[in-house]
Order: sequence, then C-alpha cells, then structure tokens
Amino acid sequence: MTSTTDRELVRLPARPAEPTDVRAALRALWQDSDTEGVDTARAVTINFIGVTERPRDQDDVMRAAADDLVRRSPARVFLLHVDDSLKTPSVEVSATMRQRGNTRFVIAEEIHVQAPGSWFSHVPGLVRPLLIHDLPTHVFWADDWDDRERFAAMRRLGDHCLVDTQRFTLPAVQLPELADARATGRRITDLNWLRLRPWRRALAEAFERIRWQSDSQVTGLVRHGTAGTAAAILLAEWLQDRLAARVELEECDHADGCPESVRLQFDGNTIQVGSSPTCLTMNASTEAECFLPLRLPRSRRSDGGLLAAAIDIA
Amino acid sequence: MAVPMTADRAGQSATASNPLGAELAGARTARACTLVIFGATGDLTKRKLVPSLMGLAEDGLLPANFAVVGFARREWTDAKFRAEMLAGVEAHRMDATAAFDALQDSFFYHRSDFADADGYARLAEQLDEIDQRIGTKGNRIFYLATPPSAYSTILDNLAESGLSTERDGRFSRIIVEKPFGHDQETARALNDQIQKGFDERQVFRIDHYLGKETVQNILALRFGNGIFEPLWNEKFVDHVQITVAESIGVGTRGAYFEESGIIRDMIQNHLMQVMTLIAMEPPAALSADAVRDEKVKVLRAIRSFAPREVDAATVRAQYTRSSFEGSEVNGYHEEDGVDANSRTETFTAVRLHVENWRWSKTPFFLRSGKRLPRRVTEVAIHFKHPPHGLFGTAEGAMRESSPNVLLLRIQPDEGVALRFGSKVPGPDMRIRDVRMEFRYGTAFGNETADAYERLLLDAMIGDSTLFARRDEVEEAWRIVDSIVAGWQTSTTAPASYPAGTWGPEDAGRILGEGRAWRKP
Repeated sequence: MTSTTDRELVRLPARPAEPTDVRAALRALWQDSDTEGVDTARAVTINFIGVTERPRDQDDVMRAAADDLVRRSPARVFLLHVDDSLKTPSVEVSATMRQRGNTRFVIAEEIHVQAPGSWFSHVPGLVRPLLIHDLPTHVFWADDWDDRERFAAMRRLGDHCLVDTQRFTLPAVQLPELADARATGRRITDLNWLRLRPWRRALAEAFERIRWQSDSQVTGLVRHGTAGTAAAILLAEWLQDRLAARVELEECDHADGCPESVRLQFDGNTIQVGSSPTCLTMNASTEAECFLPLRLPRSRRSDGGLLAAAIDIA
Repeated sequence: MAVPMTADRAGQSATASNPLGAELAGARTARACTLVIFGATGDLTKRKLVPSLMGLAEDGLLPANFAVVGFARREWTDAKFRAEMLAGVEAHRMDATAAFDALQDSFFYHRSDFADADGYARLAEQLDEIDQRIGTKGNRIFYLATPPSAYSTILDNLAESGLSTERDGRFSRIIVEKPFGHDQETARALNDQIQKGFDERQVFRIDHYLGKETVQNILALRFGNGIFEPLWNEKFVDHVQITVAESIGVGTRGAYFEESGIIRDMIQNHLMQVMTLIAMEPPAALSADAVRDEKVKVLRAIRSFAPREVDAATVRAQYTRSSFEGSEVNGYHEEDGVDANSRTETFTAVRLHVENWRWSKTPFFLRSGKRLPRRVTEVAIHFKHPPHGLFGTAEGAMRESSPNVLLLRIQPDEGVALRFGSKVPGPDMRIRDVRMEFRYGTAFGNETADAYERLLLDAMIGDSTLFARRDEVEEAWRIVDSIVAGWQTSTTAPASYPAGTWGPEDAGRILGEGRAWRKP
C-alpha cells in the first residue's frame, strides 16, 4: 500500500466502497494502517459534512477546506458531490493521519460520495448511520443556495449548518431567506460574516474616537464589486441595525469578495474604512480634529480556517 | 482649513457608549498600551518576549494601538533595537516576520542606566509622545526582564517617577519574572518594595508553567467534566506524583545554580503551582482571585517541616559523571562555577501532606532533577486498589495489572492517559493493564501557542488568573524554607546518582510501602 505524505501527515490512498458497506471499508483502512508496523489511534472531535454541486475532479474548494479544518478539529469527514455525469453513485473511503514516532493518529476519516442529482435523495440515508453520534455534526453547504429542498435535507443531518454567502448569486433575495431560516431557530453560520470581522472591528474602533448619540442621523455608503455584494448587504444591514443608519450600496470595479470601502457621516463626523489586499485603514475625523489612521490586518484565513473558527464558536 | 492630527483622547473613551462596542468586547481583547521592557537587550526579550508578541499579532490579538520600548544600558538606537528584535523573530517565530514588519515602527529604544532617575523622567516624556503618535492611551506595562539584583532599583525609580501610578482610567502594570526572592524573607521584602509603587492587582508574577495549555487543561479536566471530581480525594486516590525532569545539566549556569538548587529553582514555583491546581477545591468562579484563593488554601494546609522531619520526608542528591546519550558527561562537581565541596542538590523529591478533609491521607510526592534520562513534566494520580480483589487466587496471581493511574502529561506528548485493567482474551479471567490515551497536540491539530503568548495577552487584558499572587509565593517559600532549614542542620550529605538515571537508589524510601516512582 502506498501512502502520500505531507510533512508529518500521511494520507492513505482512497479505496472504493459499496454504499451499503462503507463501515467495512473504513475498518479495512485501519487494518491496512496497522499492518505497516505502526500503532493507529483516533481522536476525532466532530462529524463534518461538506456538500457541493461541483464534481469531485472540479472541486478545489471543499477539499482544501476540509484539509484545513481537520488540522484543528479532527473529524469524520463526508464530502458529498452532486455529479450529473454519473449514472450511479460511487463511494470511496480514505484517511489522513498524523504520524508521531511509531503511532499514527487519525485526524480525518473520509467518506467521498459522488452521485447524480437524481440519486441524491438517498444520501442522507447513507450518511446518517455512519455519523459518530456522540459528536456534534456540522454541515457545510459549499455552493450557491439554489436547491432549497436539497439544502433542507442535508441540514437536517446536523446540529449546525455553515454557508458562505459570498457564493450566493442572488444575495438580495437569498439573504432574507437565510435570515428567515435562522429565525425558526436553526443554527446557521455564514462564513462571509466571519470574513467581515476586521471591517466590523475597524468601524467599532472609530466609535472609540467619535461620539455617537442615539439620535444621530447616520448616513453611509458601502462600495463593493460584484463578488462582494453579499458582504456589502450584510455590513449595511448591520449598520442599519446598530446605528439606525441609512446606508446605500454602490457597485464599483472591485474584484474582492469584501467591500472596497465604507463611509459613515453624522453630526459633522466622517468615518472611512478602505481596503488594500492586506489591511484595512480606518480614518476618522470630526469638524475639529482628524485622528491618526488605524490599520488592521485583513482576515487571511482560508475557507478551512473560517470553518474551524465557526465550529469553535458554534 | 488644516485640521490638526491627533491621537484619540488619552485615557478616555471618546464615546460614553460605543454602539459597535460588542466587536471590541469579548473575553480576550487587549487594550491599547505600551510595553516597557527593562533589560530589553537580553536573551529573554529576543528569544521569547518579542517573538511571542508577534505571535499575538499574527493571530490578531495584539491591541490596535501598541508600542514597545526597550530600556537598557547598551548604546543601542531605535534602528539597532528593531534589527535585533527582527533577528529574534526570524530565529524563533519565522511565520510572524510579516507582523514585525508592520509593527516595527512602534518599537523604540530608551538608553539609560537603571539607577538614573533622569532616565525615568525621560522615559515618561517618551511614553507621552508615544501616546500622541500611536494612541496607546497612557496605558503602560513594565516588564522586568533583568537579573533580580536590578529589581529594587527599577521599582524604586518607577515609584518615585510616578510611572507606576494609575490615574484617569489608564492602567499601569508590572510583570516580574521568577525567582521571586531567595526565601520567604526576601520574597516578602521584594513584594513590599513592589507594593510601594503598585497595588497587588497591578502586579503580574510570571510562572511560565501556568501559561502552558496543558497546565490550564488541569482546570478544564477537573471542573469541566463530571466524572473525575467525585474520585478526586483521599478515599480513592492513593498518592499523587508530580515530576519535572530535565535531561540537561547545569551547563554554564553552575554559579547561579549553586545559590538556588533544584528546590528553589523548580519545586518552590513550578511544581508547587501544578500541585495547587491538582489539589485545590473548585472555585466559585473562574475569576483571578477566586482561583488563586483556592490555590493559596492548599499551600496554607501544608505544615512547615520541623528540622527533624526533613530527612524522612525528602531526598536530595547530585548527579555524577556518567555515560549519557552516547557520551561522557560531567558530574555536578565538575561543572563550571560549582564548588568541589558543594552540597547543592540537583535532584530532590519531597513528600507533602495537604492537611484538609479532601487530602488528609493522600501524600503528594514532588520530584525534580537535572540530568535525568529525559525531559518530561507529568502528574500521575495513583488510585487505590479496589476494596475487594476478585481476580487474585490462591493458585497464583490472575491479575497482571496495577492500580489505575490517571496521567496528565504536561510536556512533551501533551495529553491525558488512563491506565486500567482489561481482561486478556482467553479462557482465564486474566487482567492486564491497558492505556486509554488522548494526545492534546495531535487531537487538536495545531501547535499550541507559546506560554508567553498567553501570559502577555493576559497581562495586557488585566487578567491575573495565571499569575502568582503575593500570598501564594510567600506560602510556597514558607514550606521550602522549612525544608532547606532542615537540610542545613542535617548530618546527611546529599546522595548521588549517575547522570542519565532517575535519581538516587533510595529515592523510593519516602514513598512508603507498595509504591514506586514512575519512570516516565
């Protein structure tokens, strides 16, 4: 048996499995690992289910995210791909282990399922018996939110659902629907909201310098590119909620998934947050004085890092 | 019209309430401040402090407005200081060099003698300028990264100059490295001197063991799980072994070590801190004083030794020349700076009794030494045998297992292990020990942060839970002083042990019948 290694990580090659006999395939992985003369142990902490409508060979995002995630939260990982080029479902299992001396610690037990859309209604029934039930289950919807039914079916598998509204193609419509889903008590975390934390922090820092009153008439402008529409809406809604601000959005030529800039004005004061690839710069001024610019690093977290952060705080 | 550039109003929040303040609040948000490091040209700053600060910066945990002033005697400039600190970051925290690049303009050097009162006046002016330029809001943290001999001078001058005084919502804190004195008397004197300028709540005494994730995990394990605490007492625990072993010798620090010995270097601080976490009652809250109150109670429940009791309850020894790790290594008496007739111990083991309801019959054995076979820190909770032995028979022992042991491995291989007996497959009811294990670092994937990162952050936040309080330090000294006094009147010379072994052969005599030292 050959294994690929990445520094101290050992990834066992994937082996095919029958959908009805995934457990046996996982056991075989362990047995193979043990026969290489090492002890194998497992200490997974979560079930992680990633769902995408990209075929496996076209998916970098979910693979990379899962790889990052398990470095922090070892998991039984289900990577589910909808692939309409397939006539029948295919299942493979593999494992990623961290090797220390003569012991390997399984940090990811992976079950890959590729299935045509027509078969996908069977996926929850395949996954559910394989979940480690005394661990929390997190479901990551890695795509645009267009198939509500499929999303609902997958979401029911877990305690906590994660989406990335940066991938939503119609955020003006989809974000309110997401809010409605949350209002029914479902735990849904948006990675895009985590990505905006440095922006929120920069704006909060501004109000450490400038006095705001509850009757201040705040107007705002968020400039964003097409990819940053969802982020701009999220930020604008947040400002409207916290400051009773009237915030307009303005689309511009900005490739980033985050806003290009945010400007707030009230009572003769101006707050401006601008972005560069690596940092945000907050400038705040009143009629009488102009404060020193504040620089904050932008989030450099990968999707996997954001997932890990979201799971930590869930 | 030109509008003057200003920093935010020093020491005051500009808004009575920040409508977005929730983004800045939260458990681990540090306030703007300047860190003044006395002795900044030394090894600790370059190797630990600045790399740790950059680790915090990488994680977005450093305050938005932050500056460092290095205070030392060498003829350095700002540029030289920055270059030296960059070299330290490159050597010890390579992934954080980008963070240093972004922050290096906030690093300043202040050249002065520690005894020069004018130097402190100039420091105060420099700090005010930094407040204006960088917005550090008048908040100061003073770090004594100097030899203890310089503490007194620096503390006097900080008090005299007013730099230690808090006013108008600004904080002024002091971080002190161990050793905190040489005995109880000198510790008290040092604490009294600190308190001429600083209230106790402004004082942060670092024991870096408390910054280790695995030491903090003792609290999480004990009080975050329901299954251990009912067993955590003298009814079920036979004894506790706490071991801090080092494989290195004293090296070039012989002269320093001669003055301290292992008991002052390790037992008084690191081992006693770990012991208090193991033995303490659950605190009412995770606040600094609630936790430290319970830790101090443990120390107060340990009687001082009468001189005649010391020999029976302690072992002390010195390592001798031996082959170790493939080469011949010196014995302690052959090390640089060590007197040929020295009686300073390089190994000690002590038996302590915590005389309270929870632990009255359960001894705690603390063991530490240099030139032991490997570097390891662990706590082993040895449980009692079951009250009735079902698996021993007249025909011969069917049981090949030992009492249960809960092992907390502090370093390396950080984690928790439980040893228990399990039936061996076969026709007989034969029991053998097995081990159930959790490895902290591998299970959680990422490398744990350096202890100093956590401690520096806590000092900036103002959370003193992981720092030693005055009474903790002085109570620990009381106990150690009584042991040292006993040794000084004892006619028994320290024993010896070959370098690379687990201590002297008779180290087991203080354990009592049926017990043995672990070999980690």
